[in-house]
Amino acid sequence: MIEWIHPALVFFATAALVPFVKGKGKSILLIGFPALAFFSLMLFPDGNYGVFTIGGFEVVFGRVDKLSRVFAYVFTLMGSVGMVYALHVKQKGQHIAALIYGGGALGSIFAGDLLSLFVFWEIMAFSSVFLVWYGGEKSWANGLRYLMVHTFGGLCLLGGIVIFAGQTGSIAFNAIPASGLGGWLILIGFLINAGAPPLHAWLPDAYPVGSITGTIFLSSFTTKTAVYVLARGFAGTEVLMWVGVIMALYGVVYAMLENNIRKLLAYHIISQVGFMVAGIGVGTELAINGAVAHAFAHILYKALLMMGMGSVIFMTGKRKGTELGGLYRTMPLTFGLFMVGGFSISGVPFLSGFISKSMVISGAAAAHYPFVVLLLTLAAAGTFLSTTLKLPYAVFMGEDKGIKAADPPGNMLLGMGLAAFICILLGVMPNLLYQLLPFPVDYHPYTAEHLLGSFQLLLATLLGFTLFLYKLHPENTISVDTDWVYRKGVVWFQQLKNPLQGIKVLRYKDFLQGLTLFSRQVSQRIQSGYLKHALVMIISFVMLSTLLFSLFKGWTLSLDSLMQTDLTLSQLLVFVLIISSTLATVLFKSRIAAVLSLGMTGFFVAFFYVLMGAPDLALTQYLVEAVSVILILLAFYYLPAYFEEKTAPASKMTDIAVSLLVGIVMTFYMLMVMDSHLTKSIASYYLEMSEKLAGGRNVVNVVIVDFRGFDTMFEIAVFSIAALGIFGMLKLNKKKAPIQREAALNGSLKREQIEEAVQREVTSK
Amino acid sequence: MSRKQTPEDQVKKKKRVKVLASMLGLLMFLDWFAPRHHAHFFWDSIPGFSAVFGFIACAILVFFSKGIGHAFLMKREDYYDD
Amino acid sequence: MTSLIFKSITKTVSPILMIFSLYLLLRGHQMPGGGFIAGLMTSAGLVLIYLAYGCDFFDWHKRSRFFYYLFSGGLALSFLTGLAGLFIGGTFLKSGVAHVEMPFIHESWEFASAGIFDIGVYLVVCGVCVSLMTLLGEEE
Repeated sequence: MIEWIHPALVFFATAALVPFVKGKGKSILLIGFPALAFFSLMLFPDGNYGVFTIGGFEVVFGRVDKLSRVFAYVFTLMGSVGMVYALHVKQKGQHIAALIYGGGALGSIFAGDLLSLFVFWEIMAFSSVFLVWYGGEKSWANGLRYLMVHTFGGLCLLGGIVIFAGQTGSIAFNAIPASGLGGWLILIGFLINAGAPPLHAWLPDAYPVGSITGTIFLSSFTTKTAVYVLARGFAGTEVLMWVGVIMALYGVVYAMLENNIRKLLAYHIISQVGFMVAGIGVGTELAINGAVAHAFAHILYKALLMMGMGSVIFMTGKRKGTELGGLYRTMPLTFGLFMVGGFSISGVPFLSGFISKSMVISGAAAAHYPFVVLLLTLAAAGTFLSTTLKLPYAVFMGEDKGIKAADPPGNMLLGMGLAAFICILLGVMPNLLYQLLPFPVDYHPYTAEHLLGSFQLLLATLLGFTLFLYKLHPENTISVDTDWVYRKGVVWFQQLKNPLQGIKVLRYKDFLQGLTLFSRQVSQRIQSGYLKHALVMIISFVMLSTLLFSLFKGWTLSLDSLMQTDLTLSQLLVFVLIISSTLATVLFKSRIAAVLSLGMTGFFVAFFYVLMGAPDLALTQYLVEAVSVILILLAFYYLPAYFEEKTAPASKMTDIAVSLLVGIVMTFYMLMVMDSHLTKSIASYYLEMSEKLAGGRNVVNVVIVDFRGFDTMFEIAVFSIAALGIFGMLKLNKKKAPIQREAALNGSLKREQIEEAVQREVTSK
Repeated sequence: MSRKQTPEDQVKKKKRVKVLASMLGLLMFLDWFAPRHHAHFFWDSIPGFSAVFGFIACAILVFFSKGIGHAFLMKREDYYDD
Repeated sequence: MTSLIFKSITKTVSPILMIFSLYLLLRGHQMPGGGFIAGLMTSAGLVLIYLAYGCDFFDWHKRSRFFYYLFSGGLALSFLTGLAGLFIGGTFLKSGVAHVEMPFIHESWEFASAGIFDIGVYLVVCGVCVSLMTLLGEEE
């Protein structure tokens, strides 16, 4: 029996199957699979599933408990309902993006550790941006800004995770203290996704321009996932209370001014999420229950509202309040269903908003935060005012502009109907939701006090609306928000000009141009494409840095041990031979002679090993030397003939300097290592432990394959690369003029002779 | 901005206001009798407080938002298009 | 050189070399042997055939592809063994030891996962050496 199926996998699987289905099959797939995921959530008990240990860290893909489960319920439900609404969409890419997005959200919900959370977080960002882009060509810039802000948020999150994990040593995702750089960065990353000012502007920027059906999904997942992670990680963090209150008011104020019907709702999302964030900030059981309940209900009624406005856009093609009006006659069903959502969001009794929103406020009240209570109530009134009064008045009632419209097609109505049904259901039977909440619920919404309070608030707001209606007509404007900084602010900066004539103060654009030019020049110097330059750089850098490092560490060299070794005559002779053959290599003009004397050096070194009593080493050295000589000769066979090029003196000086540097540093290190008392010998450790730890008695093999397995792996990698190199050299150099081969072997032909010979070849063909 | 209100509208509006105000009055009266379970703050025990608060909230919101809106927030539609 | 003497010697010696090299591979952990030397032995055996019977006999050039796959496969195998160590719950390249009861011999043998790594090494050495030899021999 399978232990557990991750709902994200179901969503991903659905996405993978989308390209292959049509017609009825498509409907079944798109609606059925998320529904299956929804029902599957009821089958498995709480616990940690999908736990892997990677690199010493515990990665948990499936942390199931009440908190994650309730979010998963509403996400899968929304996936299904949203798909009902989106059935008519022909572009399969939209479905795929939405499903991957939903899967990413579910993955984030169930992530028990910060690493998998981050992975799914990014999956969400990169799949949701496509839903923005499917809104049309004009949405390209908005989507790009969305992506930029989310990537920035993701980076903050990653930085925070790394620092936090470094401090605590684990990546488990539980309560995170909001102190220290790591915790704060994680919090900022979460808040960006939640839409907290000042980094919230992506929300009203991107959501209104997404595709009609795409925005439904957009409004459901990103912000609520952020609410979940805040509830999990930062419950009770006091600053969140104030952030939430600011969000609640900020969103409502902007919503009051907004003309674009979906942008108004988008600002509203900020306001509602503010309620949730504030609830999390309060931190008591009631408040967090309220925040979670609010999130649950909000996903559904916000989706309903978005669906309603989406239908209006779908049928009329108009998005602005100034252009709409009087649609209640031509789109009655849409109007009705929309109002269910509108009443729900305002907290009208017998709908889902009433049972959830008031919980947050009661939670704040019970914890004795008077200002929070007052301000949130203010925001609640504002919600009613902007979403349920101003917006439908502008779109459905108000001036009849004689727009041709009708109710949208069946699937869209069905989607709205389902969402409305659930809103009503939860409102009438709140325990359905209450039993899913993380903490036990001792809250009774249907008391006289609460009912009367709500009705009073709502009616009073309605009264105010009626009185001030004249002030609330839609105006064809947009409102400036914090994204002004990166949209207009930068441009303004660029256009700074000094009034002093002719001299332009550093223009931002000029500055950038200069910077790129400089970088290009530096790159051209450093990466000239000449192998020699690269080698000189690499070698000198490595040598100098190691030298400096040891100087800093104060490692010194005592030559006593060197002076004290005995030197026999035979050893001395071998030394002399080695040195002379090395010199010969450098001084010979003929290439072959040089290679052969290089080989001789190797052979003499092998001889030295014999003298020192290591015959196996000597044998290896002989073999290796022989093979090297053969290979170098082979290389020469294919190299061009021009060996006599005069090298510039400057170049020669660099060569000499680098060789000296390498020689000195290596000698220094060799001597120091032999003399050092820095570390104790590891050989005894290997001898002792080889059988115990690795189950082998052949210590040499155990060392190669087990203890130093990493080295061996790279050795065989290098080996393979060498083979590939030889393959390339031999196979890819097909055409060769015979004269060049000969010249290569001799290596001493003068340039003119060779050129003549080549000319002869060419003309004779 | 504000539209010219025809006399018809004014009559309608007055009627609506009257209806709403009387409903509100009724609710405030009923509130006097409602048992208060959790009186956390001083205002919880005042009957009809929510009504008053709601009205003031509405007024604040409308005037405040439109106020700062017209002051500097609201711009013409093509403000960002260079 | 395709002299008769050479051919007959190869017929006997070459299989011995190859089997012996496998033996060396398998016993590498406990006694002298191991992946590197086993690979060299196997390639020695194969190259012996190549030298004795010439390049036409075995159609080396068509089969030379095989040896490239051999060494890339060996490299991959070693790397994957290392990765598998991650999932068993430790660091990269952590090895495990399993005790297996052999059916007829009634002894439990130890298999170390480092052995698989060693097999990868063996494949690489074998593949590289033989492909080198065949490449060099292909010219003319």
